[in-house]
Amino acid sequence: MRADEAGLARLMVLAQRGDRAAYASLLKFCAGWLDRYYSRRVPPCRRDDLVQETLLSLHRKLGSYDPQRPFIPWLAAIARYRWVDHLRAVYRSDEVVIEADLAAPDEDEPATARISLEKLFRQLPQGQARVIEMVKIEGLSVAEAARNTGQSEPLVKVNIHRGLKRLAALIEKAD
Amino acid sequence: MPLQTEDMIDTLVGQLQPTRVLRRSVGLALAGLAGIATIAITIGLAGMREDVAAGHFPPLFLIANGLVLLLGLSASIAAVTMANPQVGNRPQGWRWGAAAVLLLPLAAIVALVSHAAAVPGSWFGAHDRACLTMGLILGLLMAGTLTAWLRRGAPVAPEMAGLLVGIASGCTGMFAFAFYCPSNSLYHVGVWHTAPIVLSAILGRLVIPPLVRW
Repeated sequence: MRADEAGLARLMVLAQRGDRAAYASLLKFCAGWLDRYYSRRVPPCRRDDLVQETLLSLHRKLGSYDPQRPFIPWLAAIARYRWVDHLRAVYRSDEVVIEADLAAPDEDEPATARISLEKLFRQLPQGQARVIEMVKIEGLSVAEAARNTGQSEPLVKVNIHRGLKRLAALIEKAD
Repeated sequence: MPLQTEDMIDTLVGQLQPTRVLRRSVGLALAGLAGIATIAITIGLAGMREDVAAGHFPPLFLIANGLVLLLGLSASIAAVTMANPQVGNRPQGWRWGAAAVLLLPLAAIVALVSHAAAVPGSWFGAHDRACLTMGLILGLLMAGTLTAWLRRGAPVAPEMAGLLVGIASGCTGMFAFAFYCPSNSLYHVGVWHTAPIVLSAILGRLVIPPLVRW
């Protein structure tokens, strides 16, 4: 389904008034939109969970949508917030792998294009970006990344942690 | 669409109730009321400095409080706006207000170093401590109001929201107490009327984010 901003805003206003049919249509659109949004940002094993968590957040914060404003940037802000949470969880647990399609984002979704991973990676120090790509995206072990980059294993771990933390902060600031 | 997601959508649709929309104008009105109440409480409890009460406004009082008021307004507006998330629409005006207010301590330091202003009798006297303390305490009503508003909304940058609440609260507290503080010293106003704002901003940045995360 392609985004029709005015139609989505109308559905949202109806949903805020308690119209269940409008809300069902809106949530179905949001689920598809979020699935595409997260497909370039999180591994497939986490994508459905994150879509559902974001739908729940949307439901809890329905009143925070201002009918005077466009709908997609509101949804994108909530999706981004949950994505930052996810990155922080990765940073804390050091277990989950980020899977990123670093190709250009959809042209018809400017709200997501603003914060593509590719752009964000360019803002990280090279040492941090390289080891995150190797370990968290390509799936190399810390030892393999250390051999490929010439960094020591402890330094690879430190760079991954610092890089992910910085990535989360960059996403929060990105507008 | 995965079955679990479809089930979740059905559940959420089943739970839907009419929702009260969080309107920015209401948030701004509440913040405005908190500001007015703070000034009224200050004047009611401590009284008003004599010259201002008599209708005579010293230039330093007007300039310093004008800058603090502008920063307080811009930070309050930015904080209230953050309750309605939106990619690509983050208020930036408060940064200029903050830069303008920081000119006050800078001017005080330059005036002291260049001997354009008299050296104060005390660098951190009882009056300085009173302004620092009361500026912080009197900001609490604004801090509570803005934090409650943000908790109802969906701030997506909690650290920035905390910083803005701190700045708005410090400005409100200091703006209100300036109606009582009789000092016309550039050193006192420049340093000890901006210190509560800086301290409040730091406290807000540290204390508020966990309260507004969702």
